[in-house]
Amino acid sequence: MRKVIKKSLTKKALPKPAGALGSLALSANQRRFLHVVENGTDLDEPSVLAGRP
Amino acid sequence: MPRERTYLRYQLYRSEARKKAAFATLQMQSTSSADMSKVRFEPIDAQALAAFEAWHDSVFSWDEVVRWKAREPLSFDIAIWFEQELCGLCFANPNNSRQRVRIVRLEGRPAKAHPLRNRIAALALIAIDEFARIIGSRLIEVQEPMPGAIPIYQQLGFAFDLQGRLVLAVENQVS
Repeated sequence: MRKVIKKSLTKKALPKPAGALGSLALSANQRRFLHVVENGTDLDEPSVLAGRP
Repeated sequence: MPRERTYLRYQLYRSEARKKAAFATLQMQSTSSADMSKVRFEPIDAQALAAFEAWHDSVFSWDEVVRWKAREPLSFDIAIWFEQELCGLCFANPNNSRQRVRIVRLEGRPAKAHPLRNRIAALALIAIDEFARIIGSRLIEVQEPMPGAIPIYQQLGFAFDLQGRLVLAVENQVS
């Protein structure tokens, strides 16, 4: 008698990371971030940006 | 799933996100006068912690992030370098459902002038956004934003949700 292997129904599959860097496509968020990288922020950036000292 | 396998899988995602962030900033080189070819996105490793020792007036002890990394196998850490100069450090962690990536700590070099001044939040977010997209998160949240930094996050697209959390939706549509 053949053994039946059941797959878990609750197991979530993660999306595969894209392989080649050459296929990089930017999201609208990333384009906005790059715009700020290019021009800097309008405001003076504090050194601590997040986290409780 | 065994913890070690999860850690290794996420190691791949972390590496992929840092590489893509570097590639994105490099691509910008063709349209920008700023020399972003010298920007590097690396993990917070022994070299980063050694460079961090030279930071004066830092408010955090980044050494403890090494312990956090061991405890949180899904976490994402970034050391932002300009050539051999460490300019920023970041630690982010997805919640249990992975729907939300929280920026736990983000700090730029506390010096009046460094090559990436006023660009640390934007650079870190390029990598965090990429990581969030890879693991399928829906939101990026700044866990404890410094009040002085909130307008910068808003410039980068963040807004307060109904629960008063500073969040940004992760977009899966790309162009």
